[in-house]
Amino acid sequence: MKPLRPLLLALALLTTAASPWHDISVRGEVPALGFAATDAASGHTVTAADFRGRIVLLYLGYTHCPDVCPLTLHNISVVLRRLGKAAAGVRVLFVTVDPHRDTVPVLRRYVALFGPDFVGLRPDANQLARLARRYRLAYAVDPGGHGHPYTVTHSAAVYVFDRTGAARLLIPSLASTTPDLPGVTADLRRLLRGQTAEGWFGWLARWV
Amino acid sequence: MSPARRLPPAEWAVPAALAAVGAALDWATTTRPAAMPVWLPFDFSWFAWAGTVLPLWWYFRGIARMAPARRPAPWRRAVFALGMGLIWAVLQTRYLYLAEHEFFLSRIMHVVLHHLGPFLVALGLAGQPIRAAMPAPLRRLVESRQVRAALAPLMQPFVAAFLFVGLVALWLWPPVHFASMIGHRLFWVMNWSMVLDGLLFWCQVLDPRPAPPARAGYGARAAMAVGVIFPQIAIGAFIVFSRHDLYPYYNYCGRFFPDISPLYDQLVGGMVVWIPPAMMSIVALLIVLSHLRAAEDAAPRPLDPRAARMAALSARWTGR
Amino acid sequence: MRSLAALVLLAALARPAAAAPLRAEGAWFRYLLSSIPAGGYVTLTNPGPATVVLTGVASPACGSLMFHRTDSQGGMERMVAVPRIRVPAGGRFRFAPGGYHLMCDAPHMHRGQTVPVTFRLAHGAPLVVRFAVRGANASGPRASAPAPARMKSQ
Ligand SMILES: [Cu+2]
Repeated sequence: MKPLRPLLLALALLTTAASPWHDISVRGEVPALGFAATDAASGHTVTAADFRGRIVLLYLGYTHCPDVCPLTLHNISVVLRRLGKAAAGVRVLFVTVDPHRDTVPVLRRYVALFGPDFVGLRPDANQLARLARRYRLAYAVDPGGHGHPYTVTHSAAVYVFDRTGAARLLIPSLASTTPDLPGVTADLRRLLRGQTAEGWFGWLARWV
Repeated sequence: MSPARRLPPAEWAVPAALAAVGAALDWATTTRPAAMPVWLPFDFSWFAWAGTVLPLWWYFRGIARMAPARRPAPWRRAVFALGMGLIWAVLQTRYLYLAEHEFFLSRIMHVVLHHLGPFLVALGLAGQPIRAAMPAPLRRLVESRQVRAALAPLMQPFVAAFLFVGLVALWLWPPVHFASMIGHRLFWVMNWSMVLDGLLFWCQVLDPRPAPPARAGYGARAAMAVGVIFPQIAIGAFIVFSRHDLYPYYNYCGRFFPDISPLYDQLVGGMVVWIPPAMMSIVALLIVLSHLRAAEDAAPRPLDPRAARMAALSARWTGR
Repeated sequence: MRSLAALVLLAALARPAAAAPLRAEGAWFRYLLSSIPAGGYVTLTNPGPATVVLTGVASPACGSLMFHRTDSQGGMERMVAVPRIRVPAGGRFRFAPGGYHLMCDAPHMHRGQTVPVTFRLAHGAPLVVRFAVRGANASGPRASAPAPARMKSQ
């Protein structure tokens, strides 16, 4: 196994060094932004078309999550503050995986706590299943009972889509206590400037 | 319109019924995904539907048209249907969701797509009945010289074994694995390349006929079955003994079993790459040897000297 | 609620009698809405020679209060209840965002306030700690607290 390690490391370096992004480029691999859900602010159904022209961050969560969901949203709000005025071109979509407890009024008040660029989305069961399937996200809601608590699990991934709705990045670090906030900020700034550089593998994958 | 040109009802009624069921499943998975039972499609694919139900239908219709003496044995029909059903099940039912969210479950999926499913399909001796029942234009295409010429180099024993192992290695190479798991098109290419290569490989290895008409002799086919064991053991062992997480995709998109740690998931996945394929190869070797014995009984003197050596080898095993 | 208040009172009375076995620093709640749980964070230091075991926690500002851990090892985020917490001798235990936290169901508090939280110990008198109540975008007990520590610098 030992002699293979340098080889593996070299491969890893090759694939990351070729990418100008701090986060993981998923361009050409992940489908474009596409969903329908109830917008908590207006109570009306919105779709991906309503967010064309903006950089979109997509995150699954639920409001009864007092620890890691607010941590993730807080980390995003720090990134938006670092972006300054340019943050106006960004929208953060917080999609609840627990629409049973997260009613529109609860969700509206919840996302408003984090800032004006945060959008609370409440999908119905089918809209949520379609969204999760499209982005390979996982979620499970166990209503509990008989002494078992109500438990919710969900994927930690944050996806980033560009102004045209194309999937661009996967941010793995925002749910952690060691987020790469300067890296995420630099990546979003790059997307806001409309630069389209990408790793060789993303380029290759578009032709497969 | 002369009455002679009118199609008999079975010609159009069955495909129409299959298309209608497909359309209903397509509609249900698009509009009501949350209400789908686990055994119905998670993400309906017309390609997977047509690729499963049409060969099944042609197979059984083709058998009905064959002379009873030449029909595949009932157990062969059963394993053919089982193999097709397993391939469809891992590609379409809720198992697909599990395979997308746990490394070792995705490895089991590939064992079914590349080994077990095509292996069972190959045991069904489906070539003749399917070609007998498929629509004439499709049959002409399948039997055309161009298609045969294109497949011939891929069926050269060394190339076939190399392709078989090479695909396993390619889709497990970490950056490729990430892209093919997170992307929809590459995911599709990955899964179907495994199915088609599995069919190409096992249909050749498990062909009961001697060469010719088979392309390679029994000895070469036994060597193919055994030869692919060792590279797969090496790949599986590399994954099992890796001390770091090779496949972060599952950390980003989440695991189906949150209680299983990433490294343990990877270890079990490596075992799935390592052990079941090796066992299948051994079963394939025994089947090749039994075919050799049957051919030997039919023709007292094997023409192929390599087959003779294999016969000597098998004599020690079988005591004949 | 009355028993809780009594507990707090008892703790307050008990405190001068013996030196507290634990020192608490940086205690705060991330309070969002009254209808959803608040997460509590604190660092507990144990200067003594023996491990201190926390067996429970309560506060008049919470409908119920529990030890919780966020588990995200396999890429799925979920919370798990933890029955007891061990603070090692000469060491410390951190309740921090993304890991261990106090799960405050049905919070009744408001931002800017401080609220008492009582930790029950396996041995000895309960420990009362005052928690600062902060909002959604806080990252520590004080308004000037830096954003989550250990940021990668480029
Ligand atoms: Cu909690």
